[in-house]
Amino acid sequence: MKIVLLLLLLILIPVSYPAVAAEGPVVILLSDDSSAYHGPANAFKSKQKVNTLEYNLKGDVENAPAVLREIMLTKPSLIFALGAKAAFFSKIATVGRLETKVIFAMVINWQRYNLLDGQKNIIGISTDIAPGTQLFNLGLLSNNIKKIGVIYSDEYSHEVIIKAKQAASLLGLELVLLPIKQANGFNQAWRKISSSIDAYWVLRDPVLYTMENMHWLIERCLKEKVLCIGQSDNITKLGILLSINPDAANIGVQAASIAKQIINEPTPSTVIRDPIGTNISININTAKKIGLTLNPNVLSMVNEVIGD
Amino acid sequence: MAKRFIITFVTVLLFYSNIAFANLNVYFFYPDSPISNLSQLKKEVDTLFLNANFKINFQPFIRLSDFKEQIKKQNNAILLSPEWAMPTKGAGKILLNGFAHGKPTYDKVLIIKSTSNLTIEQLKGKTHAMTSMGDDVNLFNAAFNNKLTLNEINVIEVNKDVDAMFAVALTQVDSALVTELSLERVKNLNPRIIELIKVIAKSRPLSLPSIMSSMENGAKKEVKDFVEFMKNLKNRKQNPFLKLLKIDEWREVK
Repeated sequence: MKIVLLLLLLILIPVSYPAVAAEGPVVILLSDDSSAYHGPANAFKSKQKVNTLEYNLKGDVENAPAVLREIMLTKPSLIFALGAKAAFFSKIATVGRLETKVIFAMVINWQRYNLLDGQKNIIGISTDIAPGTQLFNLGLLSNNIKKIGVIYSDEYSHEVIIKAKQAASLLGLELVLLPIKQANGFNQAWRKISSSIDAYWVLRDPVLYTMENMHWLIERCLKEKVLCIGQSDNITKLGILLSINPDAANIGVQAASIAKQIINEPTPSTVIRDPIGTNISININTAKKIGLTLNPNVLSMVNEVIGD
Repeated sequence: MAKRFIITFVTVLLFYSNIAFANLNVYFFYPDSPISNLSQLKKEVDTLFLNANFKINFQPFIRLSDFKEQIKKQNNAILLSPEWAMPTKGAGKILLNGFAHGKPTYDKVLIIKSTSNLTIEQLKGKTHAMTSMGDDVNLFNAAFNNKLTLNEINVIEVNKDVDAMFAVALTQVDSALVTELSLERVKNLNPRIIELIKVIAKSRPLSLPSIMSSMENGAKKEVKDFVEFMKNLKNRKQNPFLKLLKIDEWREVK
């Protein structure tokens, strides 16, 4: 895969473009036909007052250089790239063309693609809600939460834990942290911390985020009556009490706002931004099972109530 | 032959059942609504009208663009939204205004982080989070007597006040505009969060949602019945507009 991408890179780079300031259209580039991209793309488009062109790679990496070449001939002022393929090829196509700004979004594990390395025309919106937003939402559920358990791997969640510690101190919360190195260490780690915590925060850390661990965790949360929160409405449907996800369409609105800000800036100041809009799901059956009485005001703030 | 007959029969049946059971389309858009769970709102509003034998198709919208798009597609409807979100071209007239605590308005406040020393004038060029206030910049500009205008700030629209509040507390944005009601609710749930932000200005009063009809003349009776029903809602026990939207009553526009 890497070799193929390097070859494509070599094909794209030699294309020479006239070195003029980008005053052309704003381009939306989709990685494929996934419905997940429609919300952000439409929301972005609705906020644009200038000419917007839309392209779709249709998941075809071999055809991507041709699509990007066509895009670059329009001298775009900005590319809003949705998904990893769109982001990756937009980066390559704008090597030496820094007047074309790139905003990427909906790229899961964006760090893996080195999208921000070596170029100053790229800015991204993360797929993960900031740890602070997660903890603040947890803070609305109950005033009695003081200690929050977090199992993590240092390899993938080092940055998240630093941010989480800062946010926890703002709210006077204590994080009970336990690092693990392998998925099979999860159960043992839980047993070490579960009796001393008021709530548990599930990280989307690939080391611990396995189907087996999540099913086991949901059972433990219910049995030990621990208030558990996660970052996917799927695990809320399975039984986790609360999940806080990015509001996908709102990512398009946020990207439009960033676009307005950076389009004439030489270099963006913060290269990766947290998604600000949230989509919150709550499982009221789980709340009942763990004996949590939910304030009606909390229920009206969530977007989706799962259960009876 | 039989297959074609069944298809025609079902099509005719569906056409007439649609007329019989969805006499009025009610489109709802209120970005400062105290409820984010629009499925719950729909469920409770549907129950209210069903119990009153009203044939209503209640459709809530999260985004202004979707609300406007729907009106463009099907302009034969009753609109329940702030006046600024309603169409001006070919529009009908406002029939009722929502009231809360005896007023047809509500207030919003401009907040910044409690450790920040920014003044309203210093917010120019900064990033600001708020729910939609439509495409007309005058609404926002007038809300703060032009001390801060939309063209001078970089706005990130959100769907919920809490998102804007948290973004300020976490320094993701410099300021936010939220309703006083949202601030009060978060304060009651977790006062510690409110300690992280402070209010630097209060907006001029903004209009609560109104009810407008763009129905054709043929539906006059249905609209009249709907207006009467809404006016008398304050006497009902299960009133989702009061319970979920905090609108005490709907009064006729004089």
